[in-house]
Amino acid sequence: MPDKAEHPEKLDTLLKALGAGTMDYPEKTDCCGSMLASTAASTTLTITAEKLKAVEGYGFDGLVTTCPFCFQMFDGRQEEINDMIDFLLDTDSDEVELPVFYYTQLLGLAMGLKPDRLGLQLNMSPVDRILDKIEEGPNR
Amino acid sequence: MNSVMVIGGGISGIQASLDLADRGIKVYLVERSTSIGGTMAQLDKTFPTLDCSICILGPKMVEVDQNPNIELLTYSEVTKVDGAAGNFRVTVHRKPRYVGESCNGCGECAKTCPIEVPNEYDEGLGTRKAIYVPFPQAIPLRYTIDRDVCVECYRCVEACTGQGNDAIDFNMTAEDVELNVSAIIVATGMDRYIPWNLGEYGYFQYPNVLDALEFERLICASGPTGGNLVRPFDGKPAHKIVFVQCVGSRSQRLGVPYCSSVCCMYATKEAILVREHDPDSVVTIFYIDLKVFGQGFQDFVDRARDQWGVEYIRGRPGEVREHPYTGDLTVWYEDTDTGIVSKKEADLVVLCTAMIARPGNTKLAEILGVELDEYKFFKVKDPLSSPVETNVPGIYVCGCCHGPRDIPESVAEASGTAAMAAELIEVTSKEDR
Repeated sequence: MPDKAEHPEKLDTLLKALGAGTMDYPEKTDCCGSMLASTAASTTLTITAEKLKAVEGYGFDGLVTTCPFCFQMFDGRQEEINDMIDFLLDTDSDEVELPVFYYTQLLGLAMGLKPDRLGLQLNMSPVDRILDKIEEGPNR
Repeated sequence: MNSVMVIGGGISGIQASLDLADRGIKVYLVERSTSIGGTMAQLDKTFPTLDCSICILGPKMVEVDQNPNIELLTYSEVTKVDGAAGNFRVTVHRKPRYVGESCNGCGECAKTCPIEVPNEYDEGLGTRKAIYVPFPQAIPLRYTIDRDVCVECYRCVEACTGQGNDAIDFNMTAEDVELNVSAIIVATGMDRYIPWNLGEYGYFQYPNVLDALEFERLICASGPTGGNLVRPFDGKPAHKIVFVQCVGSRSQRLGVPYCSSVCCMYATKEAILVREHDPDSVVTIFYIDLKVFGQGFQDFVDRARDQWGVEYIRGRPGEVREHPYTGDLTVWYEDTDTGIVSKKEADLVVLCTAMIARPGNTKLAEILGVELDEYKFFKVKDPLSSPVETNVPGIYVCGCCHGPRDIPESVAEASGTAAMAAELIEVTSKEDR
């Protein structure tokens, strides 16, 4: 059965199964911006930046996605966004430092696989900072 | 045999019963719940005069109780109807209240009851005990035990005996009563659309998103908060209120393409009430079209806009979002006058949901042999020439059971059905002679 379009929760369920905590936030259903990547280069990054900034603002440890294009936007272009974040958000803004994962990477960690086997060293967002936290498990 | 059965004890059924009883006609008023009053009893104020709703209804309810020509059958349902106009044989199923007629409504039993469940009268915002009357003005003022939640601790029995009474009887059973009546008036009222398919408004996710009847209870002085307008999320005072019109109604997609006809007015009424309660409040009403067609209605809206500073924005919000920590809501909308998309902060979002037919209509229509329209409302013979008659002679409909309408129209129709029923009795009794 498809997920609820307005209040998706299947990924939450999958993450909770790994022992992670999830929380709803207003921008949860916002697009990553990739749909405009070929036509409106700076708008696409603004959309991505807004979501990253919002997620970081709520104090999340990281962002998880199942979609390659979302991952490309949030993880791969985070540095590019930071280079021009003031322009993108049209305000003085601190840089975003938000770890971004594929769901399968967290699944692998939960199953005890080593980070390098999961390609975590290839993630461009600062994933290292929460690997320790993940290894400590839920009873931190 | 000069008697009429009225099915439904809301304002329509009450008015029809009183009209008939005043003509000396015996009335059996059948009500499904434990008290008469219906939806109007839940309202805080009425439009466009801002009169207190229960202050108008309460005296009428007491009149029903005291009129010797009216026999009140609450907590009862019609299960079978035979015969034809002038001679219907109706079976009424009377559910056991487990509290006998000697109950004087002192309320000692409810004080000792350990069970608390959401109160249907307060739309689940407040609580009631397992032994309860739905609201203080209930008629009859006789307690009922909700055996679905009762744990049979019998503390209520002790309390009742302590008062020198023995009204509570756990061995009470349901009974079927057969009644002969000349005519039947259907006044079963309406239900409201639950926004299952409108996830964008977050009615099921966000505590601060209410529907209009819930809001009506919240702002009512007899409501769960004593009339303090607070946010269910954290109990803090609510200052910024947003009303969303046409939630479910006027939508082909959701199967309710008609207009509910009262929402523009009650939203305006509730907006004025908010401004009265709290002069610092900011109230916004999002509408598609302002359908205010009754006498004095446009004046009322103009007054709300000009004197009370209620903001009207033409456009339907696309999404409501909630801040996870503060519970503050953000409403995203397009102002269709300007075409500009923007957002509005809100403490409470009130969804003015569509009026829909009661699900029980299908069964009742089958029992009565009358037709329903495509939206499961009762169908009248002809909306122009016989607006309260059904396809079955001797069965009449009034109020919201045959389409959305406001209180004055329901009352007028109720008097109409009473006149029709009285006329039928006149004709049939002449034939008998």
